[in-house]
Amino acid sequence: MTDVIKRDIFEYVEKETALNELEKIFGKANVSDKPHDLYPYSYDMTESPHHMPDMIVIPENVDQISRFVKYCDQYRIPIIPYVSGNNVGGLTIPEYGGIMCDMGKKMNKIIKINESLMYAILEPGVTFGQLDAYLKNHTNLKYGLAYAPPYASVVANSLLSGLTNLSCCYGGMSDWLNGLEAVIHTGEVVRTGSCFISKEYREDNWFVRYPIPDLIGLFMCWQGMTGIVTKAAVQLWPRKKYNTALVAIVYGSEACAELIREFGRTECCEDVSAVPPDVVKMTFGIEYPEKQPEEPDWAIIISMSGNSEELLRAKVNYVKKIFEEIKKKNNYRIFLSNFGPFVNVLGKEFAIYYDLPNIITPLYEWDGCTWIGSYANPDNLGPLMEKCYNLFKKYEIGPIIYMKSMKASHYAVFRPIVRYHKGREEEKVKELQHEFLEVMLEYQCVPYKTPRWITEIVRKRCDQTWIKLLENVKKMMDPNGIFNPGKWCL
Amino acid sequence: MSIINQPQDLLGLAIKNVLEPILEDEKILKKIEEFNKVVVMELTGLYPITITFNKGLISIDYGEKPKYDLKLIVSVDAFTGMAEGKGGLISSFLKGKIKVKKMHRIFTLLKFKSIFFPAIEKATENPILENLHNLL
Repeated sequence: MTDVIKRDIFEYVEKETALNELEKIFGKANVSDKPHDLYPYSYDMTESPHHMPDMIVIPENVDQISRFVKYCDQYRIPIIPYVSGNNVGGLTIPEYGGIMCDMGKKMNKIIKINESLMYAILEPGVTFGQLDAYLKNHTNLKYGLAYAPPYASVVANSLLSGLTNLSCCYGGMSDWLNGLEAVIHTGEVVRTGSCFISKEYREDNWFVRYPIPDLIGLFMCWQGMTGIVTKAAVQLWPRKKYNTALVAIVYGSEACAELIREFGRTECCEDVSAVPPDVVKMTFGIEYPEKQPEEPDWAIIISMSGNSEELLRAKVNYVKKIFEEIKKKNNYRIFLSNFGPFVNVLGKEFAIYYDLPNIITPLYEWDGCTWIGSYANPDNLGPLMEKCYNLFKKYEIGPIIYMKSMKASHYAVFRPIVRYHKGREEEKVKELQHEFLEVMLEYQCVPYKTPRWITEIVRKRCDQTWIKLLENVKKMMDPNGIFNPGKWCL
Repeated sequence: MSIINQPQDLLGLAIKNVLEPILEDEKILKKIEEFNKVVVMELTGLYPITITFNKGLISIDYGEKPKYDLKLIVSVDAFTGMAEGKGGLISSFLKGKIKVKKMHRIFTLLKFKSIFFPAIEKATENPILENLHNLL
């Protein structure tokens, strides 16, 4: 395991000197070392250990970040990139102290929309809600919407390979990046993707990522450990005129797994997501839902769109045909209906599972919420659902399991989510999380947005050549260990 | 006058959600006060719930209580049709999508219809997801 130095972050420069220098870069109003300003950055909603940062800076442009990084690198001061405060897994908790670089406050501009080539250039602080509203009002394009709250960052989620309600078509958000701009440890600003062409020759060339060497990967899923991303070009998609959603009511985990996989493979669906009905009950204020004996086990929500009603109807009919074939072949106890009528009778509380961006209330109404997100093998969803659901019951915690077909079911997402009361349930939650992880690793899940405790376990199972390469890349990108130290135990 | 319990199942929650808004309508309230009956509603292939009307108070429970006055067995299609504002109770019944047990209690059926239908109509008159096409 890589040694992580527990250090006095002001070993090479006096704190007062650093504060003065940062005030010169950002202006006095945008730098603070006051505990009441620092405290909100010291924790997130998960069980990750809290730690106070030493300072916070609020940049408003790339030049400031460039000077800031160069300064911190010179004096080996850790920098923790931060955007919207919707962090999980301790990814922005400064576990060794350091300076929070909060890009959510002033670097939140939609720099450009290229309607013809369908991409947007965004600063890190642009949120899902902001982008969606802008695109609705000004274009015929759309971006995918995450199950994260509307105030979550598009760029941060892209860099962490998040998922959206278009992921069944187009995969994880990292696949939708055309290019990015980042500040590396020297303070230099680098651009990758087709924007690598020098500005002397061509301005604004962000339309594609390949076929050059994919240096975007140096920043993707690295949890801010290799540089500070200051801009990204994300792909947009045509907003189609006709939309529909179906809901499949399912008894049995194997049936649910098969339907998720096969619906995804139809290539007709924008989103295929499943949850146990318990989640919907939580939306109605039932804190610890009890599954009634004959209640269904899972609900799958399938969303589709088309440029004409005929096209959309054809997609619906094909999905229905696949559903009927699976039902007949296996004699499954499953039902397929329009989603809209269920919303009419269950109310707005149920609509939030389709009508994004939205706040999925069960996830945010308690003070604690944590999960192990993973990319999963679609063939293993059945046993994963069964075993994780039973673990929820064992620990007497309301089961929230979220699954999704990704990229026509090339892969899936599997995510058991635990909401809890901080302070009194943390130990129980930690135990449960460890049991989840064991099951998920056994069934080939690859965790994402990994908190430290997960990477410690995963690293033991990794091929050591991979770890060596990981460490070498980190060393090359961040020789003085200033970028978000401690993540992936680096 | 109210629904006195929190259903613990999704169908029960849906029925509660549908009935609650009409409890502000005085005409309907009068009907409910006079309707002291036990009605079982079962979605075909899923499960039943029992709606108990007792002196203006309503409880909605999972499962089928043995001493019911009326039982409606509703296909999922018919249920979603009603929830979409398309299918009526009688037309669904005539098409065989709704079956009624204790059919001889025709007045009970009609009285229940006069309570339930305004409720479901109200739930469907302004669809929450108005841009969604229902194509199944």
